[in-house]
Amino acid sequence: MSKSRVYVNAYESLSCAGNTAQLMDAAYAARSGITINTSYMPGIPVGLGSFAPDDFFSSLNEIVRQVLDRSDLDNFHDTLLIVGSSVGGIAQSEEIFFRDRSYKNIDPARHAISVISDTLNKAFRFKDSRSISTACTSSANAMMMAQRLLELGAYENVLVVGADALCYTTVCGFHALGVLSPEVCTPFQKERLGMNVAEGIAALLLQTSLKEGSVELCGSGGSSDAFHITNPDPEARGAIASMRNALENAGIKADEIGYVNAHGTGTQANDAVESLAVQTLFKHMPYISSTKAITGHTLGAAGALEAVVSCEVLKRQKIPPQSGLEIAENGEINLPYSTVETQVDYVISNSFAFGGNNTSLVFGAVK
Amino acid sequence: MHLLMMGAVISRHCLRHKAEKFSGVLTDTYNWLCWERIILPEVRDQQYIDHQPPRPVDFINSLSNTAGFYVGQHLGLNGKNLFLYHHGFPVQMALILAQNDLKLKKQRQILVGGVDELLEPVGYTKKFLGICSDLQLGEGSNWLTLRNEKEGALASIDIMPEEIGFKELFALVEGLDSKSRLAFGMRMPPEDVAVFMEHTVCARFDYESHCGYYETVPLYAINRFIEHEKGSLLFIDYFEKRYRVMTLSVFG
Repeated sequence: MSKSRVYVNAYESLSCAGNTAQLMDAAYAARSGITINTSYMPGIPVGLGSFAPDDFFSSLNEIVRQVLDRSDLDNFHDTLLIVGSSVGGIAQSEEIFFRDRSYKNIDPARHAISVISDTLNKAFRFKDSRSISTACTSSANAMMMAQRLLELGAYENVLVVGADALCYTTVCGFHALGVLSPEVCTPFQKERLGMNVAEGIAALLLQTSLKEGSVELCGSGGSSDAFHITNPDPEARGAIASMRNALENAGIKADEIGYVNAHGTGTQANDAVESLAVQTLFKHMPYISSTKAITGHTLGAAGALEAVVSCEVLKRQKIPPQSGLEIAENGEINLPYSTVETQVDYVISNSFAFGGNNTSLVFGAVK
Repeated sequence: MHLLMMGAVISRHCLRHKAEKFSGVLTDTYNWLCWERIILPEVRDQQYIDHQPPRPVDFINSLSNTAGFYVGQHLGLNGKNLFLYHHGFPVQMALILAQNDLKLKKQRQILVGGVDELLEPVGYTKKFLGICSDLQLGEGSNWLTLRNEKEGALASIDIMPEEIGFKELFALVEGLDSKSRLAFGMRMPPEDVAVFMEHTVCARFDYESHCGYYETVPLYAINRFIEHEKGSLLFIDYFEKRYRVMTLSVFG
């Protein structure tokens, strides 16, 4: 069966570091968008990434509108929408509960994961939509599903949206797990304190047609550790399998990867295992950094947001430094301390979630 | 352990037995679930009313992909696990993606499951699901193993990737032979069912009298047909004036 090639032809994002252009400026300048908040959980300082006071759903519509404006489409009526989200409408439900002190006025239809696609469908009338919710790999899995549907010729246009609002449920949950950093997170640092929860929106239009400025989504791969519900396999088998499957799907060798856009949350377990996986798989020591030090961990939106970063790295041929890094825990991986201008043909972007749910995406510069 | 998880646990015990008996367990099996994320009531109340952080295990169990992990761990699956949500047609969406991956030969075997728990209050749940007030709610955990190979298979399934209009659907139903059976999604308006049954020579397959309504109940209908019937089944599902069609053919 002949497969169609898949291209990322338009995109935009919003995070605590701003829109895509602002995010990349911040990433190259190692300037974090995270702020330390002492009132979100009274008495407990936490680093959070928020773009409040903007309304989340207005921002969502605006980001998608910008992608449509940058595309060659007049509308999204022939486009499939795939949403990746872990929070859905929970943040809105929380607002209602804290205002009313009652669950009574919470609209169940606005609480579910599908509230993101429902909102966008109302504004843009997509051909069809579906939502994937696999915690921190949600929108990376949405990208993978989009690639496969496009390859098969089931659609010509798929819009992938990763969107998660900051909500009390997730912040409290991560606090309960003891993985929240009271400071701006420092992925891959020897003595790191944990992660920062953040909100984010990213939308990418994937098409089978090549356009000026296209970046190719060359491959995707996944694996499941099934090792432990919160901790990755310490031998990194799941992470290695995920990246290996993505490389195989892209039809490229490990030594062709010029940059690894790491999952790099800043937690002890993730960064140690991801470092080991990269060290084991990539003998040529490609550059690796995590932009979560700039944007925080946008959970279900992270895969799409970091897909945007990966596309920008390929277009600019410029690798962002590992923000906040002073002394690396693992000296066997190539963490840049400052921006690197170099030829990058392929980027691999990792997303790893609870339950050993791993996804890797390979992007290539169009020559 | 929460009932939601218990459903998956009970089911996967049966599943392992069946998988070992009939096909062996492949460790690269993909594990796809269609489900809805809820915040467990105890977690919700702990956080919102008592202002206490949740117990880590409660927080983890409220995440969508947790069940995929438990199933994967129990069966020793290390293929990708995916949780898919779709308001209206979650089973069809999961099966379409699985069908695509098998066609593209991305996977050799995919395990698709649907897990639903009956949520209280019932009136609230019915409003969310968009079902009429006299339809009884149920809960269930149903699983299918899909492969591209006919050898050793119990049945074949074909999912129409697009929604289908009433006229096309009507023509499809009219063209069925008397050996085929028809089944309807439980949200289907009774007047639509009556129109289809009036214009077909095939008998209706009843699964509804054996279960209450839940979002992933089409998987129950599929499994029940495979277990008790032979021949072809056309399953017409309905949500908000939209129709989707699946065709099942049981071998033997």
